[in-house]
Amino acid sequence: MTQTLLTVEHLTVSAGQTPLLQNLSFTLKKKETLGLVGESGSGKSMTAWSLLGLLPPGVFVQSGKIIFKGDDLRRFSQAQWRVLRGKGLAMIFQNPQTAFNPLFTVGKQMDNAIAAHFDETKKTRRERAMFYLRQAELSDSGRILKSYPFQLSGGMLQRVSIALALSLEPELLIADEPTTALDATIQFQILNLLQKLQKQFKTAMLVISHHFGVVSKLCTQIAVMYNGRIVEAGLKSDVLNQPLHPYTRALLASRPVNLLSGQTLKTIPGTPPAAGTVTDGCAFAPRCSQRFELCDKAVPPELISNNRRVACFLKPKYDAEKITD
Amino acid sequence: MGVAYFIRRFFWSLFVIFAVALVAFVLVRVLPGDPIAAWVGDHPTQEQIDRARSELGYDQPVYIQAVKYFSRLMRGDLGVSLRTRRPVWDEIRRRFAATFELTTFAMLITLLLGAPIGLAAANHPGHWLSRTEKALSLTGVAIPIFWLGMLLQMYFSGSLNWLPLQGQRALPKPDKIYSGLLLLDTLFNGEFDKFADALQHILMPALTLVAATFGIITRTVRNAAAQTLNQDYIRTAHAYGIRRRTVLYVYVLKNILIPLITVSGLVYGYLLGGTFLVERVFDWPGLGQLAVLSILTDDLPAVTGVALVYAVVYTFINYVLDVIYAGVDPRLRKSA
Amino acid sequence: MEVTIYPIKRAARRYPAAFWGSVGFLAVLLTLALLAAYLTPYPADASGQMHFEQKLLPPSLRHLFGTDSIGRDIFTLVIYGARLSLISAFGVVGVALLLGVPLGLIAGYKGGFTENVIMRVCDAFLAFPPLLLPIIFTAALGPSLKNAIIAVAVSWFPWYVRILRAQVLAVKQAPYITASRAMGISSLRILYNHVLPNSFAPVLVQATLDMGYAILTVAGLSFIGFGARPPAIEWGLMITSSRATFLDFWWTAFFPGLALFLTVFAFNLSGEGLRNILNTGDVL
Repeated sequence: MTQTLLTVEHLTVSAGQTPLLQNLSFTLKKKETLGLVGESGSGKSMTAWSLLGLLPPGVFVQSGKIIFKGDDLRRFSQAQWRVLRGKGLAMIFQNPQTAFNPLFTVGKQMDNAIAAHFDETKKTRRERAMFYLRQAELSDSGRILKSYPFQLSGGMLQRVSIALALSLEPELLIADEPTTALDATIQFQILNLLQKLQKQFKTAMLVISHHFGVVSKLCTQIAVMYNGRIVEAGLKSDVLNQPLHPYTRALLASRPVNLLSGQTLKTIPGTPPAAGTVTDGCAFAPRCSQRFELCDKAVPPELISNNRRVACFLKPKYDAEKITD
Repeated sequence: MGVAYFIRRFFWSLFVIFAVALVAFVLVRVLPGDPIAAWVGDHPTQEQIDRARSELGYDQPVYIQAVKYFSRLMRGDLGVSLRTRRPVWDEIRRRFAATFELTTFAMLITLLLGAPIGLAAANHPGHWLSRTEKALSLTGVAIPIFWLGMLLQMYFSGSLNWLPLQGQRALPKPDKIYSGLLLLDTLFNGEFDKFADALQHILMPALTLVAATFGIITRTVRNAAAQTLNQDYIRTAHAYGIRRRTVLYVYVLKNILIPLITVSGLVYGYLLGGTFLVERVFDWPGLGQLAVLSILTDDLPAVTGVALVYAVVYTFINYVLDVIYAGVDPRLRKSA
Repeated sequence: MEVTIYPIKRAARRYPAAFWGSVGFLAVLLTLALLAAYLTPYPADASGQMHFEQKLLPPSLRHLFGTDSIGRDIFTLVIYGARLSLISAFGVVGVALLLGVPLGLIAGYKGGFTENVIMRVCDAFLAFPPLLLPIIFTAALGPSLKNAIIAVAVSWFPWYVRILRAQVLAVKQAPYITASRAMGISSLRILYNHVLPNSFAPVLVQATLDMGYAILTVAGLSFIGFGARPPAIEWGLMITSSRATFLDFWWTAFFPGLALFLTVFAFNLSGEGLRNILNTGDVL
C-alpha cells in the first residue's frame, strides 16, 4: 500500500500582485514519478522552489497547502526547513556549473551537505560520497572528490549533483531541467542514469522539463502546465496517446518527429503568456483552434475522472467522440 | 601554469623596482637644488667644491654615475644623506619600523572593522547599519586626511585631553628590541606602561588613516557579498539543507576574499601615501616625515632612498597579496 | 551631446536630492569663485591686507568664519581659495585627459608592440603608491601650484590610458565593428564614430570623481609645502598655516578643511550620480 508523499492543494504563488502559480494541485505517492511539462513562464520551476521553501525575495505563497509526509510546509520554521531540505526533498539543478561553488572542491561541498544531515565521522561521510559517486557511474571517485568544479565537464558535474542528492537518501527527488544545459549525447546518458537510479533507490521523482521526451522516459505520470496552471494530467500513456487538452495536442503535434522532407513543421500560433498573466477566461484560448465563446469568459475548471484531469470546456465533448490521432 | 605565474610576477616586481630606481636617478639629477651646495654649506672655497664634487661622484660622466648607482644599489648601499652625513640606510631603517607599524596597524583595524560591517550591510539591506555604512564610506573618501587628523587632535587632545598630541612615545624605548615595532616589543618585554603609552600615541594617527580607507573596504565587501548571495551556488547550498551560518561564514566569506584581497593592495597603497600627510600632522618619526624633510633640504640620496623603499614595500605587499589570492582561487593555480 | 540629455532628464526624477544638490553646490562654488571680488565681505584681505588688531576673532556675524592670525576674514579667504582649488581640479583632469586619451586610443587601436610598451609604462606608473609620484615630481620641478598640478596630472594619466584602451578593445571586438570593416570603413572613422561616443560616459564619470581627488591631492601637497606657496590663498596652505593656532582657535583650521571636504564630497556625489545616470560600471 503506497502512501501519499506529497500533496499540493490549490497552491497559488505570487510575486506581489501577479500570480505565478494559480490553484495548483497534484499528489505524489512514494516511489511514483511525475513529470511537469511546460514552456518558459508556465511556472514549473517555481513549483519546485515552492516545495523547497526557497522562493526568491518578493515571491511568496499566497494560498493553498503543501503537505509533505503529513506536515504542512507552510507552517515550517527555518529550522524545520533546514532539516527537510536535502533529506526529505532533494533537488538536482539545471546548470551544474553554476550549482557548485567554484572555490571549493566538489568533495568538500558534498561533505558539507552530507554533514548537515548525517551525524557520521569524516571517514564514513567520505565513504558515503564515494559510494554514491560510483552509483552515478563515476568510477574514479577519489579523484572526483578532490576536483574543483571547473575541472569537470558538464556531464560529470551533473552526475556529481545526482550523486550528492541521492547520498542524502531523500524520499523525493526533484529534477529541474536536468539535461537542458548539457550536450545532446550526454543528455541521453544522464537520462538513462536517472532512470536506473530511480528504480534502484526507489525514490519518488518529480521531473520538470519543457521536453516531452525527457518526461516520458523518466516518469509514469505527466502533468502539462500553462500559465501557472495544470491544464492536463494523467498517466503517461494516456496523455501522450490521447491528449485531451488542445494545448497538449498542439505541443505533441509540433514535435519534429517522423517528418518527411517537404512537410512543414506544425507550430502553435501566437506566443505563450508572460509569467503572471491573469486572464478572464482560459489562458490558452487566444491560441486555441477550437475555442468558442465560453472559453474567453471563464477559466475552465478541472474535470477529473479515473486519474485523468483536464481543464478545458471541451472535455465533455470529447467524451462523446473517440480520439484517433 | 601555477609556478610559472609566480615567477613571472616576481620578475615583474623586480622590473618595477628597477624602473623606480631609474626614475629616481633621473629625477634626482633634474632637481633644481644643488647637492654640492647642500654638502659644503655656505661660502665654500673652489677647492672645497671640487673636492665635494669628486667625493660625491658628480665629476664622472652620467652613464658612469648610473652604473655606479645601480651597482651600489645591488649591494644595498643607498649612499650618504647630505643632511645628516650618515648612511641613508641607517636613517631609513630606524624610521621604517615606525611607518610600517602605523600603516599595518591601520590596515588591520580597517579590515577587522570594515569586513564584518560590509557583510552585515549586504545581509540586511535597508537596515540602519547599511545606510550608515554608505554614508560613512562616502564621507571617508572625501575627507582631507590632514584636516581629519587635526580635528582629532583638537578634540581628543585639546578638548578632552585623553590622548597625546603628537609623537610615537613619551616614555623611553623598550629595554629589548625584538621586532622594531613598538607595540610588539613593549608587549614582549612585559612593559605594560610603555605599551599603553605607545597605544595612546598610535591611536589618533591610525584612526585618521582608517577613516580615509574604511569606506573602500566596506563598499567592496558589501558589493561582493551582495553579488555572491545572488549566485546559484548559494541557493543550491540552502537547497541541500546546509546551515545558514555555514553558508554565510564559509561559502560567502571565501568568495568575497578575492575582491577583498585585490582591494587591500590598493588600500595599503593609500595608507602608504597617507603617511606623508599623517606623519606630518602627528610628528610621527617615520619614512613619510623623512621624505618630506629630505626634499625640503635637497637631500637627494635620502629622497631616492625613501622613494625606493616605498616602492619596494608596496610592490612586495602586492606580490604577497597575489600569492594569497592564488591560494584562495584554485582557478589560478591549476592549469584550467 | 544628444545621447546624454535624455537620461539626465530621467535621472532628474529618480535621483533628486543627492545629485542635484551636489551639482547645485558646485555651481554656487564656481560662481562665488569667479565673482569673489564682488561677493565676499572683505576682498582686500585676499591681497595681503593685515589687520593685527582683529586677529584670531571667533566666528561672528561680522566674520562668519572668524579671522586668522593676521586678522584676515576667513570666509573671504575660503571663497578666494576656491579659485585655486577649482583651477587645480580642471588643470589636473585636463592635462591627464590630454595625455591619457590619445595614448589609450593608440594603445587599444594599434595593439601589438606599441600597446605593450604603453601599457607597461602605465603599469609602472601605477605601481607607485599614490602621492609618492606627485611628491617626487613636485620635488623635481620645484614647489609651486602649477608644478603640483602638472605632477599630479602626470601621475594620474595612466588611469585614463587604461579606460580608453579598454573601451577601444571592447568596441574592437563588437560584431558591428567587424561588419563595418568588412564594408571598408576606415579605422579612423570607426574610432571617431564608435569608440569616442562610447567612451564618453566612463571617462566623464572618472573625470568628475577625479576632480575631487585632484583637489584633495593638491591641497595635500600644499599642506606639506610642495604645492601652493604663500602668499597664495589655497585651502591646504591655510590649514598648514593654522597649525600654530588651531588648538586654541579652532576656526582657523576648521573652515578651510570643511570647504575642502564639502567640495570633494560634492564632486563625488556628482560623479556617482552621473555613473548611475549613464549606467556605466567601472571600465577597466
